[in-house]
Amino acid sequence: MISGENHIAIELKDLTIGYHKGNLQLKILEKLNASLHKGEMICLVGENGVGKSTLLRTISGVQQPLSGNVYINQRPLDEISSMDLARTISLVLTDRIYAGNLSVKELVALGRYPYTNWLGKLRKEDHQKIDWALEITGTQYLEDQLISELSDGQFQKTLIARALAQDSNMIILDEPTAHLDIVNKITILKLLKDLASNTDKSILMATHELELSLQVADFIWMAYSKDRMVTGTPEDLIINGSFNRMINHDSIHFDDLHGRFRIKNKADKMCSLSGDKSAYFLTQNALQRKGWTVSKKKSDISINILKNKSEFTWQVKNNVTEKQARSIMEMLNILNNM
Amino acid sequence: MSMSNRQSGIILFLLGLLAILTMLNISLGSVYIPFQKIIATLTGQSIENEGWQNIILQFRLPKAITAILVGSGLGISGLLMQTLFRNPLAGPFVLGISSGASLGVAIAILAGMTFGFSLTQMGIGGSWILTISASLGAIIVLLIVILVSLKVKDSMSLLIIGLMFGSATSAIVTVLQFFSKAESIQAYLIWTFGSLGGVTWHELEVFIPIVLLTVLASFMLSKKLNALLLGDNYARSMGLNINNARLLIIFSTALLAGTITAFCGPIAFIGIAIPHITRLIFNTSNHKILFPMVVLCGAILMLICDIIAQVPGREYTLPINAVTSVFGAPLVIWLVVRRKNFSKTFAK
Repeated sequence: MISGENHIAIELKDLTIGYHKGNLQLKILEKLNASLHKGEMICLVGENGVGKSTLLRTISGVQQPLSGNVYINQRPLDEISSMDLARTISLVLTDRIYAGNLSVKELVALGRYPYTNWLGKLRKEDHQKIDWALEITGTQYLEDQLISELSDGQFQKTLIARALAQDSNMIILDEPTAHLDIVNKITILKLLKDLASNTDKSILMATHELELSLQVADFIWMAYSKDRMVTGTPEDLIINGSFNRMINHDSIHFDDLHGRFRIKNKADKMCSLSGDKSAYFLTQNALQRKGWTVSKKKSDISINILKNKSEFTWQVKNNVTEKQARSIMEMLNILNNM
Repeated sequence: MSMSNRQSGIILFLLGLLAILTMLNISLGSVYIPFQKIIATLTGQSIENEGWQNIILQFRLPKAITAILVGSGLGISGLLMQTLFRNPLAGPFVLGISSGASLGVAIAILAGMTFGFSLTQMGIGGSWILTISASLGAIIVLLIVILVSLKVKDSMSLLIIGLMFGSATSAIVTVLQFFSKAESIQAYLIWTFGSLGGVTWHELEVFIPIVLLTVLASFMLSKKLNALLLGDNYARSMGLNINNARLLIIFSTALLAGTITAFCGPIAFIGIAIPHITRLIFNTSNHKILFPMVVLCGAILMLICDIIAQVPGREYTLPINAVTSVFGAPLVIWLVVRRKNFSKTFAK
C-alpha cells in the first residue's frame, strides 16, 4: 500500500452518478471523491439498490457520469479509447453467459481479446498468460471442462482467470462471492487479496460480505443511501460508527468489540455470568439469544462456569435454589423454569 | 482452434457424406438416368442422349448447388442471429426479412394481377421479377431494422421489434390476399412453398458469389461473436465495439437470408435447426469451429431434404419448405432428447 500521485490507479473527482430520464437527472450517488492505489484491494459496500453496480459501471466506462470525472492512471476516462481501457480494466460480473458449450480454457482465452489479431489467433505470449491465469486461480485441472459442468465456485474462479488473462492493472468485480458457500467465499477473497499484494493489481469489489471484507480489504468504500460515500480502513469505519449508521435497522447492530453483526433481541431479563474463560463467550451468546442481559455484576440470578479437565458444568443460582447443568441446553432449561 | 480426434473424425465423415449426397442428389429424380452416364456428363464427356445431358447440366446440377448454398447460408445466418440475440429460438428470419420478401412478392403477384399483367404468363422474365420484388421487400425491411437498431440500445428490444415487423408485414399480405383473385392467391402460395429447382445458371452467377462472399465475411466476425457469447457488458469491456459488430451481423444475416428467400422462396426451419445440430454434434460454442461446421451440416441437411422432396421415382416434387420442417423437426427432437443437457449447451 503505497500512497502518492504516481500510484493512484483510479480517482473519482466530484463524481455524480445516475441516469437520465427524459430531461430529468436521476442522481444515485453525488459528489463522490475517492481513490484507489496500485496493489490495493477495496471493498465497495452498501445496501441493495444504493448504487454500487451503477458506480462500478461508471468507473468501467459502460455508463456516463452525470457530472464530475473518473481518472484512470491520471487520464480522464472519456479520453481513453475502448481498446486501451480493455487493457487497463477487466471485469468480473454477475451476467449470465450464453455459452455452456465453451470450455474453461476457451473462456479464459477470450480474455486475450484486446491483444489478438482479427481472427483471434493466440500467440506464444497469449498462451503463457492464459496458463498463468489458470494456474494462479487453481483452475488448470478444469481447462478442458465445459463451463456448463462447473460448480458455482469453479465458475467464479474461471471468470477471475479470464479477467487475469486480460492482463489489466485493475480488476473490477461485482459481487464475486454471491451464491457461494463459506469455504468458496473465503477462497475467492483470499485469491483476490493475494493478487492485489503479489501482482500490484488494484482490485475494486462490490460485496455484501461485510464481515469478511473487514479481514481482506485495505480500504472500504461505504455507500449510504442517496447522499454520500465514506471511505477509510475497515477499523476506522467501525470506530467512527459508520457501520452502525449504514445498517440503520432496529433489529441489527454492529458489535464493535467482535467486528460482527448481531441481531438485537429484546433483553428484559438480567443475570450475572462468571467462571471459565473458554466457554464464557459461547454461554454469553446463548443467553443473549434467549433475551438475557449478561453482566459481571451481582444479580438475582447468577451463573458460574466450572471446568474439570474437558468437562464443563454450569452452576445456576437464584435466591432460592442452586442447580447444575451439563450442557448449555440444560442450563437454558433450568433458567426457563426459574 | 484445437480439434480433438473425435472432431476430426466427424469432419471426415461429414465431408464424405456431403460428396455421396451430392452425387445421390444429382442421380435421383423423376427421370431415371444410369449412373455411368451421370458421371460421364459431369466429367465433361458428351453422351448420346441429349435430353439426359440437359436434365443433368441444366436442371439437376444447378439445383444441387443451390441446395448446398441455401443450407449453408441459412445455417450461418441462423447462427449469427442466435449469438447476437443469445436466444435459441432465433433464426434467419427473426428480423422480419422473410416477411419483407413475402410482402414484395405478394405485391408483385397479387397487386400485379389486379393491374392486368400476369407473372405466370411472363415466363422466365417473371421469375426475375419475383426475385427482384422479394429482394426489394427484404432490403426495405432490413433498412428499417438497421435504423431501429441504431436507436435501440439492447439486442432484446431489437428482437421484439423484428418480430413485430414480421407480424405487421404478414398481416398486410393477408389483406392483399383478401382482395385478390383465387388464381393469384394460388401463384403466391406456390412461391411460399419454396423451390430449389427454379434457379438457373444465369441466376447462379449472382447467387453463388453473394452467398460465398457473405459466408466468408461473416467468418471474419467469429472473434467478435465469441466475445458476444459473454454478453454485451463483457464484450464491451474487452474492447469490442458493440454497435459496429451488431450492424455487421445484421447486415450479413439480411444479405444471406434476403438473397436466399429472393431466389428460392421462404425456407423454414433450416436456419434455426442447423446451428443447434452443429453445437450438439461438436459440443462447442466456439464460432471458429462452428462456422465451417454449420456450412457443412447445412449443406448436408438441405441435400437430404431435397432428395426427399423429389420423392425418387415419382413425377411430382413436394414443397421444400414443408419437407425441411417435417423431416428436420424429428431429427432435432431426437438430438435434444438424446442429449439431456441440451439447455445447458446454450447457457450457463
